[in-house]
Amino acid sequence: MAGSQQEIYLIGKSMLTGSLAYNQESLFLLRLNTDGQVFWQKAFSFGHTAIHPKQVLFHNGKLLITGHLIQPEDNNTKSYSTKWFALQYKLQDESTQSISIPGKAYYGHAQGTIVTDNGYISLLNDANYFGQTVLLSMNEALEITGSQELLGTLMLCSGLMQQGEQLLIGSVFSNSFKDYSPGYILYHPGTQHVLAKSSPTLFRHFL
Amino acid sequence: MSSLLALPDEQFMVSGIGYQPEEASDVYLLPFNAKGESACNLNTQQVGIRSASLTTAGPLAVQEIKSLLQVKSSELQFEEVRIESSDICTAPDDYTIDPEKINPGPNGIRTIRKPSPSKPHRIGYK
Repeated sequence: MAGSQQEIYLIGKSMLTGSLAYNQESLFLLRLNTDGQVFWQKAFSFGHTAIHPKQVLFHNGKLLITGHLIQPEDNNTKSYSTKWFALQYKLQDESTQSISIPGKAYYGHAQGTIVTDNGYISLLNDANYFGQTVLLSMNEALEITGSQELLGTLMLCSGLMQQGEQLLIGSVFSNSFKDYSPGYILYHPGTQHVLAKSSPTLFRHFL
Repeated sequence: MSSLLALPDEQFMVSGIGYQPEEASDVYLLPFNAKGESACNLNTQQVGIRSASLTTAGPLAVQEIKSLLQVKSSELQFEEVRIESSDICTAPDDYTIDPEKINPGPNGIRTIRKPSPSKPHRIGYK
């Protein structure tokens, strides 16, 4: 959900055909007023794809929707890959732009996007949950301007905020005993300084 | 999966759900001050950062999605949903506990702990 004092934008998904999980789905976008009345609704499809929208941001007359797609690999419909995507919709001319990361599951899950002075920063996490994590910088034309990978302790990052000049990332850390410890990562892009802290182990299984 | 919540004055909270086998699930709430400090001892995790090979030209390139189509949305139907609320859950701070009025439990002892808002705490449920 995103919006201003007068309007609210909601995202969701609806199935266009069939009942299987990976049949064609569409992403819908609703514009409402603060009384809940719908001004308009749009729907977008990426073809034979399951869509999992995660977040919508309203910035400079544009809506940026991030999430992940689940698509068959080539013509092999028994094998699927998870892909992060970003879709930008300009309210003025109703034009769209969209990007994704092709290939097998890697940085598959969208875990949070923020608006910055130069565009956007998006947090991408491994489609297998604990694994690779990347901060992807984009300008407002959705051109990639930088990407940085977080390395070290096995972690599942979710949630991204700006805190002063630093980026704050929510994370659950794991060790070889499969103990899980929730905490955070503070990253200063200017100095490259990283601070990661967690609670002592809180639980041994994960939801 | 954890959630991150911004609090006033650059304080923040990490929350989520975890469980131990054969035990009740827990909701955990971990508040931090603006410096990332907590009321409990924290472990330092080893995390570094490096430029990733995620460019507009590399093997893990980000590319424009060619198959994006704006489609006719099947007219979504909206209806008003009547929601009734009841007091099924009450925050501990909503009650002022008068020890004189607490009836003792079967074993004669009843302990009520009021969680400190500055300390992490877990809310268990079956």
